[in-house]
Amino acid sequence: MEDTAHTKSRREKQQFAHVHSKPWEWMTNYTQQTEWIEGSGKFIWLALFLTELGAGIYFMSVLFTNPVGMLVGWIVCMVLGCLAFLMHTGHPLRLYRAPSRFASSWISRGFTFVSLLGILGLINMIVVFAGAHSIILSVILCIISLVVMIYAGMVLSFNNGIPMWNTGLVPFSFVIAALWGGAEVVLALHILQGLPVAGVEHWIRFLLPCFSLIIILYLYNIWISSDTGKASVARLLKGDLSIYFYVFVVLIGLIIPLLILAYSYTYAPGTHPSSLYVLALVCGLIGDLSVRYCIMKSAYYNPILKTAI
Amino acid sequence: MRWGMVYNLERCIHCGGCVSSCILANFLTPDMKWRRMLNREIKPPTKGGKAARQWLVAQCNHCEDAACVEACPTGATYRREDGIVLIDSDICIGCRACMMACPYQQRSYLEEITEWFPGQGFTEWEQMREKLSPKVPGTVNKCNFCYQRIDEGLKKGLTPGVDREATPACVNGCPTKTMAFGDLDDPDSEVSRLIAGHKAEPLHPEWGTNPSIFYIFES
Repeated sequence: MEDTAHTKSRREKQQFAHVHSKPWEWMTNYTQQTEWIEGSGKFIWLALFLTELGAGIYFMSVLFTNPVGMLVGWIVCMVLGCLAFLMHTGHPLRLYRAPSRFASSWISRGFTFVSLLGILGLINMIVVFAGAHSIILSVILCIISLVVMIYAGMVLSFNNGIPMWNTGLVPFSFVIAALWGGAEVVLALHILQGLPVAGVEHWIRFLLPCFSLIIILYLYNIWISSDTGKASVARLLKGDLSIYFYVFVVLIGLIIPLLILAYSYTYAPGTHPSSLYVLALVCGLIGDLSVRYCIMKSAYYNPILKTAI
Repeated sequence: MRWGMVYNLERCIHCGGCVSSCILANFLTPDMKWRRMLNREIKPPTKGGKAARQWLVAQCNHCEDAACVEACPTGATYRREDGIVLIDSDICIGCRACMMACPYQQRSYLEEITEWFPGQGFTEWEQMREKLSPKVPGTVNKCNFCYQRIDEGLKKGLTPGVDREATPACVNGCPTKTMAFGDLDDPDSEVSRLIAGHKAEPLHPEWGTNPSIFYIFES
């Protein structure tokens, strides 16, 4: 019995590799991807977050016809997001070549749709600021914004060597996170502008529980998918990333906004203190950024040799 | 025609000759890892049993359905008709999407050109790099099957895998003939015969990339 318990505990220790592979186990054990989260790779994490958040803000602003929100979303997506992507690339001046492989590359598709959002979004803002409104343009922009929100997740889920990313739940959770973040920002803008917030609040009441549920589903799905996936999730739950995960994702990103959401049901929509809205917004954005960090940082490649140690 | 390679790991003595041949022939910097010698301990099946060590030389698999080619947004990574997957450093934007897409982790990103002997300056051999095989910082790189040698050799009527002049440097640098290079589409080539005779298999065929590198594993 002792032997079995010892072997089990040893196997668990090996299986749930909480720390990186030792140098001599490089590529023969679970190997962390570093290029997209360490050094200049941190910029792609920011780029994916900012472009999606910007698209989310733009989407919500179009829905609620808030030109200031559109401008904020456009700046977050086109200026901050694109700047972060430029900082990530080794040769930013060659970026004009990025749409060349639209048929197969999600980076290419993302670049194309972000550019479309930039051009059409600007035209739409001019139209709206001029006091007019084009429903066709709004519908087109909503669709483009949705594609921009999907693309970052698709870029990650395309990689079949990294089980942590190789699931359809990644783009799905990123879209929900972007919509939620967008709704939070638009809600804050509505409060600042003295506009009614009830409509936006209904969106948040729907999106936040959805996001929480998807995160749980996603982690469970990865846990059962493969040994490498299990090692990635174990690193989040028990390893060196657990402090980020529990504090920034679970506590700040999910529990506090959920408590505020639960508290908001005691009031009629749009009538509770605006400081709570601001707190929910800050917590939501920190949580969204942190969940993406955790997903990118905990990504392990499958071992090259057929059986992991 | 589809160029490929077979590793007979029963012959490999883990000397690293192929790795150093590759570095020398291609003027690689310390950050350019085109070939990697991997090893791991295989734990004994029972307590107190004998542990073993497994070795493997890994390189770009020049996959037929290469994930890196599909992930590249600019077309910098492309597959030639003879199956060699190459990177055009003049087009690469350095986004590293191909590195994420390659399940075999066989691509390196060249942040800057560093010295092999830090603080000692570039050696004469490193200085020759600029003239003979310039590298572009800010781009991704990987094994190119020494395509220049193959192309030049074919022009001279030589047979890659048979004539040394037309064969990749790593194959020439192996003292035990662990590696065989040749046309996978030619049933009479050495590689095809080795694959058929020894039931050689690629790494992780289940990933669906259809690699051009095959291994005969130690029994």
